[in-house]
Amino acid sequence: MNIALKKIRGDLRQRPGRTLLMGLAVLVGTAAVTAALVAMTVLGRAIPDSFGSSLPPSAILATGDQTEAALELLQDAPGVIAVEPRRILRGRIATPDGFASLALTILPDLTTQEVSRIAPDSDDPQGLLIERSSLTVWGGVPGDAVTLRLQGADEISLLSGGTAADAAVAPGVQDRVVYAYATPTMVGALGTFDELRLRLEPGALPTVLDTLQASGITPDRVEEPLMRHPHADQMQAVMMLLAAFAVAALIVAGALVANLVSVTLRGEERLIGIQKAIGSSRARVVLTVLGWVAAIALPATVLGIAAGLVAVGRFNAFAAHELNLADLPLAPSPAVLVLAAVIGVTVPLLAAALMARRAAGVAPLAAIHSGRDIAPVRAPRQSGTAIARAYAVRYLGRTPLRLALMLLALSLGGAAVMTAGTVYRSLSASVDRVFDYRGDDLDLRMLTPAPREVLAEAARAEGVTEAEVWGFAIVAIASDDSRITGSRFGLNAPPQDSTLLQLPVAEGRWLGEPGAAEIVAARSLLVRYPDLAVGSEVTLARGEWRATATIVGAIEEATEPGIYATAAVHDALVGVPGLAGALRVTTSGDPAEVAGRIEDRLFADGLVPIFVFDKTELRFSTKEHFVILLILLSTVGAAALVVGGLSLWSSISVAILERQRDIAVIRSVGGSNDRVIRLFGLESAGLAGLALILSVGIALPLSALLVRMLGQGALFMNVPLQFSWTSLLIWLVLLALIAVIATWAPLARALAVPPARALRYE
Amino acid sequence: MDLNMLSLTAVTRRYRAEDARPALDDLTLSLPAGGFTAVTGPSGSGKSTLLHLAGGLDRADRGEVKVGETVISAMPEAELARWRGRSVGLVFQAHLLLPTLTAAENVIAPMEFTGAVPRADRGQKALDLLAQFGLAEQADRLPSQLSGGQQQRVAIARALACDAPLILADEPTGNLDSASAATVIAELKRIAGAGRTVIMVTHDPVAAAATDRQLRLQDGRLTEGAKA
Repeated sequence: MNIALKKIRGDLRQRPGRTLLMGLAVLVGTAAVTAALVAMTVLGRAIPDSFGSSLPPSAILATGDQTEAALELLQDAPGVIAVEPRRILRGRIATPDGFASLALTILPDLTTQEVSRIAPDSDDPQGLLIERSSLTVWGGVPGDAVTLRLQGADEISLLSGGTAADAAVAPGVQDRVVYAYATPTMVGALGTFDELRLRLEPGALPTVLDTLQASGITPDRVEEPLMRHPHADQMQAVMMLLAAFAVAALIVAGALVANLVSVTLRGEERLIGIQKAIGSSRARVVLTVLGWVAAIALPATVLGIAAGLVAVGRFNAFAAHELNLADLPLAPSPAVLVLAAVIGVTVPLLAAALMARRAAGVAPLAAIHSGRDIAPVRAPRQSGTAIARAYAVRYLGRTPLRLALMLLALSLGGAAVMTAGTVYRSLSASVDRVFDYRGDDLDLRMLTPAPREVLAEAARAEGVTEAEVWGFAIVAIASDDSRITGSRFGLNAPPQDSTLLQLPVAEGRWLGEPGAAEIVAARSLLVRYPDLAVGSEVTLARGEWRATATIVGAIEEATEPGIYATAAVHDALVGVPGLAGALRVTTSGDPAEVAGRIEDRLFADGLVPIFVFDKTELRFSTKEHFVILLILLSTVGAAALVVGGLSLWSSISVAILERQRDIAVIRSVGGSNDRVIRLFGLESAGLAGLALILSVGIALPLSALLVRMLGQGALFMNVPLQFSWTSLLIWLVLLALIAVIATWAPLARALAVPPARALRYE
Repeated sequence: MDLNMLSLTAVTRRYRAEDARPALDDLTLSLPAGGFTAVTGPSGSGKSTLLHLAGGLDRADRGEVKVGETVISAMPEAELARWRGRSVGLVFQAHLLLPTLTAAENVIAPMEFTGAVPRADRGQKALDLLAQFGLAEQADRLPSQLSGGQQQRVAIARALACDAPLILADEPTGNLDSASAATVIAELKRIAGAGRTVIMVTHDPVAAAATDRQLRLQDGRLTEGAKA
């Protein structure tokens, strides 16, 4: 074996602690990068692939009772790739605890679709299909009987024939909706189609509409859905954060490696001097160091990649669940793995090379004679009497690069944890704030407007303490030619003296007199329509009805985009005065039980609510959207924290080991063991304190940036920063724990050596 | 009345059990208070071990070490550290100044560690001591900015910081040129002349010749000179 290899083998044996630390740092850093890279590539491919495989419609036409005729016209029309009829029935589905919201899609065939494809788990389903992500909301298993309440029909009982995956809808469990699929024959008279779903050649929609127009068919509504997964933007942001935190973890790992190499070479200065004196070149010294680091980094990188793949497997399963995707394959491309391996090995080698080059640049004689007495860069201006402070500060200050690397490593770890906590707390607090403006416990919304008296009578159910009958309708925004385009929104018309809603207006003002043609819109809605702003006029449409109103204000809502309107606007869109569409009530008992009673009373009158929002449940499900973010940030933060903790550990340990002679000198001139412990304890506390300040300094602007990005991007609201004191406390405890253990262990060893023996080593 | 500053009674110190010969072998000696004593002998004869035991830096395996009226060989470590700071001043061959503290701070350190000098007086006392050794101008310099001789004089000043009656110097001129060595020996002689007890381990016959009394050690035993 040649001398260099012998030296590397010797280094590995002589420094088991540092070898282990370095290996662990590289492993964690590589695992984080592997997880981020693989997750990004797999999800980046899977989200559009999965969404694309659902054959999403480029247009949805609400053709009502002219659907069959329109279908016939468009089947072979130019520009039409595929066209199929649908009907979506909104209602309720029985669950073990009562009823849940239902979106039942009626389609011609459960197994074959050319548009809006679903993926049944069975080739020959013998009953209604339940969307996979809705199973927990429904609470049943395939084969069970399903009880449905649909407006205009008695309670229907069907057999569930299995499950299906629908990549085009958000997870049912998140929206608290059961998505189900049935053929017309399963639901009898309700099974007539009322809309067409089309896949079109680019730019073919006007021609299609003209074709229909020529035959006297005018769709009530034309919707051009966004051709992307409903959570694609959210996941993209998450991916970017994951990548950013992975890079941070890698920097931390590199910093730790550089730190370890730096302190190791400090201890070997004399040896380096001797090597150079007997003819070794600077490059050879650097190569020997790199050999040692490579011997650690190579196996650690392999293990790191394996750990990263395990992590990403779990993350994929979680993401698949959150995004309602089919199980994601863990099939990283070889290029990605090679990239992770290259990064895993290169970063520590570069960090080591930087340090080794500096250390090997010392002149041989200077290195031999320097011993360990390396002067600080600058002498102090004046001697002070605070010896302990001067001793600690100047020791740390004489290796500023090492200090900076250690603090960087540690601070990033802590910052990641605090950022995760702060982002979640801020978003969560904003959701709470929005829900706190709502005074109701239950919000029941009807599919179609009903007489106010009927709703008011239903609200007399046991357990209702206060009730308000609101106007509610599902409306769309009409274009200049009065056609209905785009998505539909809920329009709420609260009583003018409502006590159950006190929304603060972010811009403009709240609604005026009931007779005024005014609306207040959610910011999220205004974002979708850049032409609309506070002060502008908008024409709203519902079927054949139109209402033009002025947008007098904008509000921030964490839930779905909505509109608040005066009674005049509502009545114009409903067409018949005296109708209402929603009940908002406060309850004295379990809201779910009260909701059940109200629902039963409504159903007895032939009415079915399409949504029943339990405020507590809605608040929970809204927050659940951020849980994935919290978990992601916390996971990567924990990885960075592990490396940062190792960095503090190694720095403190090495700082003590390096000064065993100083400790002996201090003891020889009268410093007791307690005094030495206080002296080094003060230094560790100072380091930990600096790391704490720095990490807070990094966490605050980073959190502010993320909160702003997510607040405006996902909630469409200004989210005030709410610092997470809990995560600061966790970080503080961890920091203190690491500092105490890292100080105590080597110090106890150093103090166990009689001063004479420690001094004799010199 | 016992006027001895240092008494060793049947002291044995063996570093490793497998060593055929102990560093100090059943050594008994006593040195009176005051004066400048040189301990000489070949390498490995036990000179430094004797000094370390006398300074409470190491413990004997057997026997009793007494400094003045205090038996230090059985003293607990915490008490020993306090005693060391107030009762003994140590000077080492490699100076062993704390590298990140200035000359003045190095002198202040034992005062602060032991609390032997009131806080308000420490700075001035350090400057006075440094001035005595001609280092007033170097008070704010770091050890690395001083010559070897200057560093050793700072170390001597540090040894005097807490007014210890016993000064132990281990090869204080070993790393110095002859001029600096002469200065250091002169300083130690001056200290001894001022009433303190100075014991110096040295290989240097010139330095040894400057002392009042010489002890020669060979294989951990006294071979000539003052013997108790």
